[in-house]
Parts: sequence; C-alpha cells; structure tokens
Amino acid sequence: MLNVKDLRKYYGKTTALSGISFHISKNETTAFFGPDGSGKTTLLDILSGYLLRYRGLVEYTGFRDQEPGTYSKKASYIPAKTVLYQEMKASDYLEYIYGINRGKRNLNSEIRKMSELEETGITSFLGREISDLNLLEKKEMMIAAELLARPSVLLIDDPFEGLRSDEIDRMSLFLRSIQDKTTLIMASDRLMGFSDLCRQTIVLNKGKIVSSKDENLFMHRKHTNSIRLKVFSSPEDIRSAFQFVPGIGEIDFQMSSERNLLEVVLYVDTEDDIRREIWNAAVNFNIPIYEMRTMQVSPEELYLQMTGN
Amino acid sequence: MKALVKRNLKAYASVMLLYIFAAFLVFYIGINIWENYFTESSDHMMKIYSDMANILVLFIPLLTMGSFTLEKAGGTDRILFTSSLNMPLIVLGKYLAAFTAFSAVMLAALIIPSVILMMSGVYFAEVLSMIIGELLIGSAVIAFGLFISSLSSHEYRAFVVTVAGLFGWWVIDTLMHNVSSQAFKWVLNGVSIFDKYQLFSNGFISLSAVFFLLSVTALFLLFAVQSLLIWRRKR
Repeated sequence: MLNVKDLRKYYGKTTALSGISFHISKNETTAFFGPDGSGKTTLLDILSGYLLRYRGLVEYTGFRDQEPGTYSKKASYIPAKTVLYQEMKASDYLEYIYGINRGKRNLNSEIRKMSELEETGITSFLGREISDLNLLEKKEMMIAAELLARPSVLLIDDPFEGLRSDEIDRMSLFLRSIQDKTTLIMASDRLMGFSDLCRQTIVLNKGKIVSSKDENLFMHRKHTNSIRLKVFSSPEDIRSAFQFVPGIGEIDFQMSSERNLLEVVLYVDTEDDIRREIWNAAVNFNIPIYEMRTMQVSPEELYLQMTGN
Repeated sequence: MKALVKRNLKAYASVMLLYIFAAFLVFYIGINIWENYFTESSDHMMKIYSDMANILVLFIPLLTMGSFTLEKAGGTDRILFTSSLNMPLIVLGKYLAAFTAFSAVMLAALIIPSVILMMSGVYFAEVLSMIIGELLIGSAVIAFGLFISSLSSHEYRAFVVTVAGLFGWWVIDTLMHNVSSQAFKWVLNGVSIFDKYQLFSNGFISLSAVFFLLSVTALFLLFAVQSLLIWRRKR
C-alpha cells in the first residue's frame, strides 16, 4: 500500500527526517510515536502530499498518480491543532469537506449509510455550530467528514490530543470501528488510546526510526520483562552463574543503595517463569540473594527508553 | 469547487466588519445623492457615481485579506491543499466567492443611484456600462488582493499591502494625467486600471479595456496559484 524509502526532510540546517524507511499494508492501522520535534507531523505532511519538497521515495501502490501533491486525492489528512471555521455548522463542514474531496453521491444518504457515525452520536450534533462543539465532537466531525469521501488512506495527527480519559476511550472505539474501511495512519507523542488499535507501531526520535522492524510496542514481550536481584557477589560471578539459564538475555549492573550489595537487572526474553532456575543457579555458585523482584516494562516505559527520556 | 465557493460566501456573510462597511457605503451614497440631486446636472451625478465606484474598491481588501492568510494561520490549509481540488481550482473558488460578495454589495449600493441617474436623463445602457466597468475593475482588484493574501500568513498585513497596492494604482492614474512625456504616459497607461473606468463611464463598453481588465484578473490569479505552489515547494 505505502512504501517509504530513505525519506529525508530538512528545514534549512535542521534535519526533520533523516532517512526513514517503512512499509504499510492495505487497511493496516499504523501509529507513529515520538516526542515533540521527532518528525511525526513532518512525516504526515509529506505522506498527505502537503509538503512537496523532500528526498527519498514515497510510493502509494495502487494510486494512478504518484506525483507529490496528487496522491492526496486518495489520502485524506486531519491535522492537529486546527482552528476550524467557527461560523459553520457541523453539517456545513461535512458538506464542505465532502465537496472539496469531490464526493459524488448524495451526502445525506452517505451519512445514513455509515453506521459507524451513528455510534459517535455525530448525527445528534450535526445541526450545531462548530464553535459550540467540544473537542471530541470536533475531532469526530473532522474524521467523519473525511471518511464520507471514502479515502484509501486516512492520516490523523494526534487523534487523542487534549481529550479526557473517557473521551479517549470513546475516540478509540470510533477509530476501531472505522479500521476496516481505510488504511489508518496516525501520529502522537503519547501511547494512550492506541493500545488496541495498532497493528504496527513505529517510534521516531530526532527524525529517525528507533524501534525495530515489525515491532509493536503493545505486543512487545521480548526484553520487556526483567528480574531485579540484590546480591552479594561480583559482576563476573553473576555472568558465570546465569549464562546458561535459559531465557536470560542481557544483564545490567547497578550500585545498590545497600552497602556491599550489587543490584542486577536480568532481561528476560521468555514468557516462562524462570525464577526457580535463577535461584538454583545462584545457589550452585554460592551467590546469596537478598531480594528478587520481577519487573514488567510497560509499553510507555519501553517508549520512553527508545526516545531517551 | 462549488463547496469552496459556498463556504467562503458563508464566511463573508458572518463577518460584521463587512456589513458595517457595506452600510457605510450605502449611507455615503445616499447623502451624496441627496445633496446633489436637486442642484447639479447629470454630468455631476456621473462624477459622483464614478467616485463612489472608486470607494467601493476599498471594500475589496476586506474581502480578500483572509482568503489564504486565515487558512494558513488556522492550519486548515493542510485540509484544503490536500483535498481533491488542485491549486488553480482552489484559487478560482476563492476568487468566485470574493467576486460574488463584491458584486452583491456593489449592486446593492448602486441600485438607487442608478435609478436616479436614469431618472435624470441618462440612458440605461450608459448606467449598465458603468456597472460592467465597475465589476471588471473589482474583478482585477480581487485577483490582486488574492495574490497578496497568498503571499502572507497575516490577515492585516495582507490588508495593508493590498490597500497600498490600490493607492499605488491611484498614484499611477494621477501621474498619468500630469506627466508631459508621451513615452512615460504610455507606460503608465499600460499598468493603470482605474483610468479604464473612464471609458465605461462615458457609456462605452471598450473591448480593449474589457480585455485588459480580464487579463489583469487572469494574471494575478495565476500569480496567486504560482505563489502558493512555490510556498508549498519551499517548505
């Protein structure tokens, strides 16, 4: 569906994107995560055809015209922090977006056909002015308006930005209900709301992809579990003791706040409980264990680790 | 494009400043007509009509200043520029909306003076020719205003520059009537637009003036398209 190869974007001497590559399949929901300035919005600007100057390849397979700025006819874009036309009613906005996206069918029948829109309650606020809508309603309206023209790709920048947690749940449900209708590509600086949505997650930091290929932050199990030990031993003995314990990956050492004790972090790449094997290995090497704690690295922690925060 | 024209017209209809200006125009025209109707000849009335037409042009920067600046400032340019409309259609849509709004206000403001002119012995054809001239000048100035709006991201900056441009054109007209050098006069005549109105106010629909004003309109609309494309390509 979408192939991006070695995409680079510079704003003067500032590098916004430095050679990123990825692939997104048809109807696959993908989220780009990254802190402010990581290049997410620039990336969406390019994928939408808004920004025309960049280096590298952006290729939508199945689109007749690959010229930047023309594939936007199939890729709809909902930017973040948009000041909408306050004088319009929600229904006028839908009509306007449907019109500029050259929707051919009768708008009202299209709205009726989209049962997903009923779930959002959008039909109840169609008659209200945009200035009277809350943020969630505005976002739902913007997404619904773009969906009506049936885009092949829907790009949404920060769909949960500024929403309360209950509103995030509602928006997440809405996005899940439209997943099979289009290829959904989103970007955000936070993970909240995305956990059950994304087939693929890509983490950006300083214009580079810092997550592994085909890695999903929410499905990640490898290296996300760790076991912390407080032991009376040396790093060499620890490595010798645990090198043959199945499931232990990397081993990190930290100074313990308790005198003479060493804090050990064992990164575990199995879902099995290996505490018994660790205990036995320590006993065999005569390593006294003062404390053992299993640690679950949450997607948020993993994300923060990736982005260096 | 119809949706774009409709949205922009609705936006114009919601701006209080435009109503105030339109009301002021009608009021100004009414006062002038009342003062001069019983005392002056129809020639003088024609002069007032011509002056009012020039004042009407001042209305245009108010219409065009936000055409692209507000889209850029509000972030809706991303939605508009990535829609199915290409840049020439977007510019044309904005132009048609501004031209429709201008025509509506102009016709509303000139309807009473037109009737009075006809009652004072001026033929309908002459009045019609003046209205056509005014519409064509308005069209050229709207295209110029859109071009200025396409260059900026600040509404009031676009307004000031458009007004300054109009002032420049008036200066050109004044200079044209006062310079002795024929060559210089010829050059100034080539870029003057308000002077073309004189042809229409004499009751003639000059084809060369029509062609000139339509060309100016097309030229500035093309400039607007190009400036927006360059702005996007430079980003």
